[in-house]
Amino acid sequence: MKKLHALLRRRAALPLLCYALALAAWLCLGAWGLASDMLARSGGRLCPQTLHAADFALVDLDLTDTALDVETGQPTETLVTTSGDPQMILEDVSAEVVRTMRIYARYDGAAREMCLYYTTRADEPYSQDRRVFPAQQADGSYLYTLPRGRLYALRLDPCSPDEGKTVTLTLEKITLNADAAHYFLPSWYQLFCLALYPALGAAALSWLRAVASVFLRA
Amino acid sequence: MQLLCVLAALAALFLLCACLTLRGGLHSALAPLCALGLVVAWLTAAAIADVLLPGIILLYLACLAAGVWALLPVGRRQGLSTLITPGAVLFWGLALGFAVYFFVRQPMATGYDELSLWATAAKLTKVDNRLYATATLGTPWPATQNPGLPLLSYFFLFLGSYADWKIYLAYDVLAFAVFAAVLGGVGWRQYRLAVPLAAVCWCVPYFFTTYNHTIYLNTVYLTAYGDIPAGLVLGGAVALWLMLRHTGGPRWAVLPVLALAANLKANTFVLALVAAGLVAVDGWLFADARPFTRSLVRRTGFAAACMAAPMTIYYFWNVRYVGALVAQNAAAGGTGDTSLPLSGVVVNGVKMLLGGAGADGYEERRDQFMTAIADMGHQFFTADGRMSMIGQGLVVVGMILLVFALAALFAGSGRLRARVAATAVLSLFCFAGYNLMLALSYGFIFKPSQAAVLVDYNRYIYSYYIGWFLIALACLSLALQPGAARSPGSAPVRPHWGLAGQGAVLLLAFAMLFRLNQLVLPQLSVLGFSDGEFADRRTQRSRAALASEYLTANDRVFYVSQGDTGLAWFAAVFDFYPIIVDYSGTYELGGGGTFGLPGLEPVEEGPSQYYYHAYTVADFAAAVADSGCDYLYIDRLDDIFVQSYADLFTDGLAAALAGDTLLYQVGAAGYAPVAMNMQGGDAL
Repeated sequence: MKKLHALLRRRAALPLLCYALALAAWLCLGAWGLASDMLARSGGRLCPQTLHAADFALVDLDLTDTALDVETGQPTETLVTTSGDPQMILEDVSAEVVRTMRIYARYDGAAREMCLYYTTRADEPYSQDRRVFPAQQADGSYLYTLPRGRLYALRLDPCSPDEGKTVTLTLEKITLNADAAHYFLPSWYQLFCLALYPALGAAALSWLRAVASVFLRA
Repeated sequence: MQLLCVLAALAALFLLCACLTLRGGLHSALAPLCALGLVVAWLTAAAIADVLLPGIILLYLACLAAGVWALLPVGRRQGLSTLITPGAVLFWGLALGFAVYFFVRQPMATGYDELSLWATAAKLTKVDNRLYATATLGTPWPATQNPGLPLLSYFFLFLGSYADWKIYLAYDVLAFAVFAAVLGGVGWRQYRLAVPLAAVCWCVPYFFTTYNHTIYLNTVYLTAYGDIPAGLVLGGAVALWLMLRHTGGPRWAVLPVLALAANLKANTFVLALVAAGLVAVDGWLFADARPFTRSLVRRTGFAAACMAAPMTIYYFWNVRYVGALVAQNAAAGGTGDTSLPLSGVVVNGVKMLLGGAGADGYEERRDQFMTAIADMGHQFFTADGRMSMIGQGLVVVGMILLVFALAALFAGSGRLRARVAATAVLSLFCFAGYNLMLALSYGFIFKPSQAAVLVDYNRYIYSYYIGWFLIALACLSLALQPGAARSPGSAPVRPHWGLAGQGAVLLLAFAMLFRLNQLVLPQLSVLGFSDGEFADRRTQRSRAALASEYLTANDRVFYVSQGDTGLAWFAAVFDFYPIIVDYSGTYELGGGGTFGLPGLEPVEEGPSQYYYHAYTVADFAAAVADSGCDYLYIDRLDDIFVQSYADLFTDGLAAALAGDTLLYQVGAAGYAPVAMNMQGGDAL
C-alpha cells in the first residue's frame, strides 16, 4: 500500500495512470462493441444485406431504368433526381442492427453533399445533429459508419444537385453491414479526445489531491 | 512527398527555434512565435525588395546553419532539456499532428475572401515566387492587403507543389505558437495548470466566433481569413512579453511579433498598436529594479522600439509600397484609391462626435456614421448581438474583465497586481478606441448599404475579443506561475491562492469545452469534416484543370458563369492561374455575374437578378474583343445567356449545352467550340 502511495506521489504517475485508464476504457468499449455485434450476428439481427432502390421509399427520385450490367452481371438501376433534395428512406430498421451502409453508384453530374440521417425513436424527426457523412473508398463507393446504439429509421441523401440541375445515379447496389466495423481504431476526433481528456483528467485529479491534502493538514 | 516537404519546413522552423533557445536564451515555449515573426519579417523585406526567391532560399539555409550552430556542439545535452517544456511540446505536437492530419484529409479553400484574396495571394506567391501584389491578374484593383499571412503560407508552400491545406497549416501553426506563448514558463511540475490552459487556448478561436449550434462546417482552424490570426497575434504578442519578463531572455524577441501583428491585415493594424502600447507601458512603467529612474533611458528606448516595430511595417508596406502600387494602378487605368483619407476620417468623425460639423464630403455621411454607432451599441448591449458562445459583447467584456480580476487576485505581489490592473485598464481603453475606429469605418469608409447592416461587424470585433481574452489569460497564467528572479512582482504564489487559481483555470477549461461540444458537432469541425465538404470545389478545380489542358500559359480566358455571385469567378481566377481569367466584362457594365440582353433581367430576387449585367449583343461581342481574350470558358449556362448570345457562337452553344465542351475559341467568324475529351471524371 505504501509502495502504491509512493508510486502515485511521483509526478508522472497520475497522467500515466489516466492515459492507461483511457486506453483501457477505449479497449473495453471496443471489446463491448465487438461482443455485442457478435451476439447480434449470432441472433440474426446483424447480417449483411444487399438492397436496391425498390427497398427504399424514394423521395424526389425517379427510377427510370433497370438493366443488367454486362460486366458484372448485376442489375443496375438508373435514378434521376427531381429536386435538390432527393432521399432514399428505410422507414423502420428497429428490428435489426445496422452498423455500416455502402453505396455503389456512379453519378452523372455533380453529386455535391451526400449524407445519411438516422433517428433513434419512432416519433423523432430527422435532424442535422443526427447524420453521418461518407468516406469515399478506393473502388469509388461511399461508406457510411453509423453510431452504435438503437436506430429506428435511415434516410440516405444520395446527392444534393445544384439549383436547377439534375443528377442521374446509376445504382449498382447498397449494402448494409457488409463492411467490418472498426472497433478499436479511433476516428481523428476520438484520437484528439484520447490525447486531451486523460491529461485534463490527470490535472483535475492532481488538483483535487492537492486540495484534499490542504484540508487534511488543516 | 507533400508531407515530407511540409515536415522539412517544420524542421527548418525547429532549427531556428532551437537556436533562439540554446544560443539566444529565449524560452522554448516563446521561441516558435518569435521565430515565425522573424520569418515573416525577413520574407516581407525580401518581397518588397523583389528578391523573394533568393530571400527564402537564404532563409532556409540560415535556419539550417542556426540549428547546426545551436545543436551540434558536444556537451549541450543539458541544454537540450530546455527545448522540452509544456509550451514547446504543445506547439510541436499540434504542428506535427496537424501536418499529418491535413495531408491525409486535404481540405480546400472555399470561402469568399479566401478565393478573392487570402488563398489566391498565397497561390500566386508560390507560383511566381514573387509577391502577389505584383502579379498580373484580370482584376481592375491592386491586391494591397498586408503580406504577413500569405508570406507565412509561402514559407510552408515553398518546398514541393502547391496545396490549399499547407496554407491552413501555416495559419494553425501561428495559432499554436500563440498558445505556447500563453503557457510561457509553465513547467512540467505545473502540468495541472498547463493542461487546462492549453485546453482553454484551443477553445478560444471557437468561443468568440461561434454563436449558435452549427449545422454547417465550422471553419475554425480551417480558414485562411485574417481575422482570427489578427486577434491571436494581438494576444500572443502581449503574452510573449509577459512571459519573456518572467522567464528571462532577449527582450528584442517581442519586436518581430509586434511587427507581425502589424503585417496581418490593414484594418487590424490598430491591434498591433494596442499590443505595442501595452508592452511599452508595462516595460516602461514597471521597471525590473528600483528606483524608477534607474535604466529609464533604456526603458524609454525599448518602449520607442515597441511602437516603432509596427510603424516600420506600416511605413514600408502601407505607405510606400502600397502607395506606389495604387498610383501605378491608377496610371494604368485601374480604380486606384477610392477611399476618403484616413486622417480626414478621424478628424471629422471626432468633430461630429463632439457636436461640431464635419467638412464637405464628411458631413453628408453624418447619418450613416451616427446610425452605425447606434447599431453597434445595439449589437453590444442587447441579446440581438450574439458575439460569442456566451452572448453579446457586454457579456464577453464582463468575462474578460473577470479573468483579469482573477489574475489580479491570485497575483503573488502588489506589483504584479498593479501590472495586471494597468494592462486591464489600458486594454479596456483601447477597446473603446477600437470601437471608435470601427464606427468611423462604417461611417466614412464603407458603402451605405454595407454600413446599414454593419457588414462583417462580427469578424472585426471578435479579433479584439480573441486577443483581449488571451491577454487576460496570459496574465492569469503568469500570476499562477512560481516567481522568477527576473520577473518583477511575480513572487512565489501563496499555496492556497495558487490552488484556487488552478481550480479557476480548470473550471474555465471544462466550461469552455462543454460549451464548445454543445455548439460544434465533431463532424462539422476541423477534426471530423466530411470528404464531401469540398466536393463542389473539387469539381470546379477539376473542370478548370481539364480546360487548362487545351490552353497555353499565354492565353487569356473570358469567364461565363450565369448566376454567379462573383465567387465562381474568383475561384476560376485561382484555379486557372498562371492562365489569366479576364475581368470578363467592362467596368461600366459589370463582370463576374449574369450576362443577358437588356429586358431579360430575372424578376425573381436572387444572385441572377442582383448581379445582372445587361449587355446588348454588340456590347458583349465588344467586351470579349476588347478584353483580348483568346477563349471563352463556359462554366455555367442558363436560358438567358443562350437566348441572348447564341448567335455569337458558331454552333449556337450546342456543344456547351450538350456537355461536350467548356471552351470556345474567339475567332473572326464567331466563337467556335473547342473539341474536348470530357471524360474527365469530376469534370462531368
